[in-house]
Amino acid sequence: MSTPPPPPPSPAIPLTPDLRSAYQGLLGKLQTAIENTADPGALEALNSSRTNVDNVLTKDAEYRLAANTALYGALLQQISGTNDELKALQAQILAISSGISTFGDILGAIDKLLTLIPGA
Amino acid sequence: MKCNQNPCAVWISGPHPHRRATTLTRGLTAVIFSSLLLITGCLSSLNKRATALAAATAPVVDQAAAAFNSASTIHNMRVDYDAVAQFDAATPVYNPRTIQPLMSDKDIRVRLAVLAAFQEYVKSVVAITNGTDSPALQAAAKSAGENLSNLGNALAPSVESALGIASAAASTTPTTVTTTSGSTTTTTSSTSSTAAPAITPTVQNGISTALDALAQFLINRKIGKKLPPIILAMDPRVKTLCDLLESDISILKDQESRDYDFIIDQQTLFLREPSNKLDPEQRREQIMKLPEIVRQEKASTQRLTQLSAAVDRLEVTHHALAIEAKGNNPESLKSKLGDLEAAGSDLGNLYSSLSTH
Repeated sequence: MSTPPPPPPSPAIPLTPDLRSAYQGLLGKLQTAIENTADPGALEALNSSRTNVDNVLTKDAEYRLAANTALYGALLQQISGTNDELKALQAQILAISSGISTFGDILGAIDKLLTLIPGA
Repeated sequence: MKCNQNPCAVWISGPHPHRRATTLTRGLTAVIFSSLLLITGCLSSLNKRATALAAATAPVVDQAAAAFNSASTIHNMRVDYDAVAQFDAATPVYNPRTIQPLMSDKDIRVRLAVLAAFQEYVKSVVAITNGTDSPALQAAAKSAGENLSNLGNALAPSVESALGIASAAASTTPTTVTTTSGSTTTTTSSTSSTAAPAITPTVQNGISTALDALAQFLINRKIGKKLPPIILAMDPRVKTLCDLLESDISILKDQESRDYDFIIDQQTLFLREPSNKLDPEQRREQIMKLPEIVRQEKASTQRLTQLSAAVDRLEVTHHALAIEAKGNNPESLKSKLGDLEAAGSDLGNLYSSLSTH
């Protein structure tokens, strides 16, 4: 078996979609070659190349996951804001129930006062 | 309508105050209840959508947390296998301190925080749309109804006296007194009457029910006005969340596939190298690990596929909720809300009149 091509120089991360696709294509070919040989020498060389390509794609994945983390952070603030609005709405709903209760309490207090005023 | 303009005047001065009050209370309670049915119907359908959303959210939250942890665990295993491959290399000299996790603690923590916040949002929407007639509200309405009745009954005699209106007698009790003095027996007959309460228990119950209905109406109207815009504003955020989750899933799926391939390749290379000094039994055990790694990979891929489907369901379910919320604001509903406000105003007049007597 011929010697695998030397690994390409380290590309800029994140990879462009085209470059990512090219790396994935190369990895697929190396993987297929690995799966179709039992020769230890060939396996060692293929695995070495495969690891280099895989490391580039792993760095790209790590970068993209970290980039998503920043977006999640922004989203967290927005959802928290919405939750605050819902809490405020729940407080307004509670205030209506409390209003009825307070109304009853005031009437009860007036009624009690009237019973203490002679001739009322 | 005269009755609604000054309902209490009719109630006090009429020849049959109890019947008038009962009819009035029943009438307005019926108006409120029919109004309530309209708004509650909208809230009920929103609640069904919100409950469906809660059901669609739970698997995403659970499976996403498991997926993040699983991907990190598999990647760590790959790093361990890589350590074996790199350890004997002359350059660079292997240093375990340089290893990088696939996702940092912060990466995972932020994702879980977003999912927890979203779950809180869903729970709040379900709670808000999940009926407004709470036991606490019923108790408050009952208490207010009782106090209102007591006050009405306490004031009614004074008002009737001032207006020169005779109280309706509720019961007449004849009393006969026979006095015997020596041989003379004197019999005296008299009747006494007890004034009926101005507000009977039946009317009191009606008032309590009407107060409960009024509070429910006000609450439902508040929800109908405030909740739909919140849900509609949330919809694009849910789409962003689902897009981010899908992006994560796509990256993790690809990474996991490569990590598993790497592990299998390294294990295979190790077993095929003639330099390894494994005895037949050890070699057999190491070979048997290979199919198990493939089984783990398939299970892992299936979990991510299921998570992806759950994320799709979540987005669709929230969008259905948003459409339902949007449907609550057409012009027809707006005009009906106008009618409801008028009914609420009528009730307000009734209660303010009652409270001044």
